[in-house]
Amino acid sequence: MYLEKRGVPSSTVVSTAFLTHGHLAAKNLQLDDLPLLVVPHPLNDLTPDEVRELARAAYPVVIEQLTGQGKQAPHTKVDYVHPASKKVTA
Amino acid sequence: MNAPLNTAVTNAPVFELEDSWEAINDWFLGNDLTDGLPIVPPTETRVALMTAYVERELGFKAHDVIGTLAPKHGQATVEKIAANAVMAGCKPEYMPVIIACVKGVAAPKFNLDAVQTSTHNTSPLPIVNGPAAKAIDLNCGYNHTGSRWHATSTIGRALQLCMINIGGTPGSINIHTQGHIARFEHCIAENEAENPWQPLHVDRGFAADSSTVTLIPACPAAMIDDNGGSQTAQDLLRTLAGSIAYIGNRNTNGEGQPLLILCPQHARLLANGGYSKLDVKRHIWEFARIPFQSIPRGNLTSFSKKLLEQFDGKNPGYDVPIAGKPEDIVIVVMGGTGTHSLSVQTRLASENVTVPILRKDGTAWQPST
Repeated sequence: MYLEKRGVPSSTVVSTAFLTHGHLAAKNLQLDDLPLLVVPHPLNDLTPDEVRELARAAYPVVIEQLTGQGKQAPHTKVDYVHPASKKVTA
Repeated sequence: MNAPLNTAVTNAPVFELEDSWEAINDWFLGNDLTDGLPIVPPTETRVALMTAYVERELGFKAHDVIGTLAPKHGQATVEKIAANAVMAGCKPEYMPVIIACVKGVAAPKFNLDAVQTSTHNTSPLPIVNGPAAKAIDLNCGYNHTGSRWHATSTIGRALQLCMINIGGTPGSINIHTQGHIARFEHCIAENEAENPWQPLHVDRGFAADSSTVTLIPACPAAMIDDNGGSQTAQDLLRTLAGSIAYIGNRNTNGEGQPLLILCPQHARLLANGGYSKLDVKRHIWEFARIPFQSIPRGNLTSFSKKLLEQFDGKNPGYDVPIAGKPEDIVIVVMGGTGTHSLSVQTRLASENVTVPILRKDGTAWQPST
């Protein structure tokens, strides 16, 4: 966010649990419209391969946020389903 | 984020609301400006009584900024602190302690941003030392939670309301996994009269007759139930050391500043056995340990890369202490009769802070008796 404030294009990644905090932190920097890239929470139980898969899913959003012109969505959820949410047990 | 970025607010906004207790409480609840409990309406008159007391006793004006509270970087002016103190039900004479509490949590090393916004179940625990505690009748004995104890419960609540209303987006940033009951209120005083050693603020280099507030980034306390079993200092030390360290206590990462709240009887047994407070800290540091090899590797991968680098494959027999060094362990004496002490693990990457209660000109404040 500090980079964005200084005019360097950035893509700010937050996990779903920290979305409110992310918007608040942006607002503190008078970056109310800073688009956020939202990934599923938590991250610390993903395997390295799952992290790569998540990164691939996030890539187009990162590019859009770095290069996009005009007003963007306040936050964009990455099209990635957390493995834990796929595992439904009785 | 370390610099205050909001422009200075010299006057807090004033709202005109229907003059009824119900309507005012509905408005505050509806705007997420409370902890969920009813508040005392912070009318201009009530807030002015608080700020006038502060100006007379401490010399601070209503618009003076005491600190900046994360994550919103809201500026905690005396007036805003006063409004929250009114809401919590405080008396004006509690303000010097509340102001020191706010100053403490605003200190960068306390890392309020993380305390407020991480999933870690943490809340500031203010520990008051010196004559201020007695002057306003803060609880240092029975009942660590402060229920039924006016100064204790309302000061603790005022700090929490400041954290909500000045430091955060009300009601929305607290994502502690389960939370901590202390998020309603928490504030204790050290039981200096029954402390066989010098009190915490003297340990920290302050004069015995000065007043201080020490802010601990505290997690829920675990009771150490000795139940009168220990007849010697050595027995009790074994009980304490065996009760503090466990794998899920983050302080076993060999970092952090765990707090031990000793009941007076335990402190006396140790002191009469010839142990100084530092001796007790050294004993706990030496014996409250977890064998490195018993800590699951995944736990270390997530939490303590430092320990992994130091000992993995090199010294698996190493026993991991609960602090970097004995002096990092904090010991206070608090509580009534009985043989129950409390072990409080603390948040890593947040350090405790001791704030002297000072007037604006930097001189120590003394409560009028």
